Amino acid sequence: MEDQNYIVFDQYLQGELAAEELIAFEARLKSDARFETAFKLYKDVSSHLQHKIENETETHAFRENLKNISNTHFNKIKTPLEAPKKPKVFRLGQLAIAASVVILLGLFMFNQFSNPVYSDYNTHEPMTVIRGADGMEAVMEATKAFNSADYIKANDLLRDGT
Amino acid sequence: MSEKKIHEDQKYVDGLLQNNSFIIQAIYDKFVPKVVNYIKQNSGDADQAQDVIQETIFTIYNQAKEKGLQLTCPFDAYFFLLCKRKWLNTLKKKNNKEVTINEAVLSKDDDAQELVFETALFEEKQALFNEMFQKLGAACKDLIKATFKIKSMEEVAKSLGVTYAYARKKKSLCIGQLTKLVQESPKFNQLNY
Repeated sequence: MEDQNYIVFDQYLQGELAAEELIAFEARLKSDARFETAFKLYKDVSSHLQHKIENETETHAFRENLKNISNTHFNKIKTPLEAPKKPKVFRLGQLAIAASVVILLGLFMFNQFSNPVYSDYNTHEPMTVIRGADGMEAVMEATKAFNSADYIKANDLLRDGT
Repeated sequence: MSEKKIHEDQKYVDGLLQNNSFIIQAIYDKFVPKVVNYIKQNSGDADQAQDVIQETIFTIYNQAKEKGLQLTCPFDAYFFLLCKRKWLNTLKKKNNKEVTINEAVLSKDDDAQELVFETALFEEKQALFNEMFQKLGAACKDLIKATFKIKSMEEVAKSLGVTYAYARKKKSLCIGQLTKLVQESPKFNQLNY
């Protein structure tokens, strides 16, 4: 029964029904809801298959073109969103360089001043002498000796002078 | 439908039919950003938006090609509502639970709603037809493909090595079998037949 319907559906769609058959067919479409539904579905499925198979090449070409335009469009949208991230990474790199320089400098200075030795503080103002005082000669000698760092001699001379 | 005035934006539908790159480009420039924003605001990202939009345009193309789609509303509203609908369906399928949706952008255009409904129905039918076609036996698939590729049934019969009468009958029965598979699917009830 169903099979017979399918055959008639196809004949109707191909315009192959004779006048009498055509009248009977259309009358049944109006009176039999299930028959009508079955026919509508058959017609839709046929039309779908026909479109799909007949236009396969065209449809494929359209799909490819659409895909290309879509990709180009979305790549443009996606890149400006990612772009601002780059300078951030760059700044982070700069910060890292600056930080290591500060740390190295700090370490260097710490090492320089962490072991004080006597010579760091061993500085003396040159000795001054007041002119016209007594025992001038000994004082002059002592001054010379002191200024040439001969402290022992300077000490002796000063002790003798006073 | 036929009494309604065709909107001037029909040029976009015609452009799609002609595979006109300028028109497709124009659709992306003018109408796509709004859809991308909407999807991003409703738990989606740019990649998901790209897929939804591409599929929607492809459906419009198919409906125009097969059914001679005529636009009776602005393309903007029609396109946006279609994409939105598709995105909501995607979310539903993925989460399988209630989704909170930002409903601020809703068209009150009745023509657009009606047209969107038609297109959505068209798309669901196509998907179901395609799914069921895969379930047909190889002989039926081959016969159906040959029938629509080679227009003359005599040639089809020759190429398959069968008689013309057999090829004709078999074609009807194969398509009939496909309609049966479609009708038996639980999705059939949503198709408004």
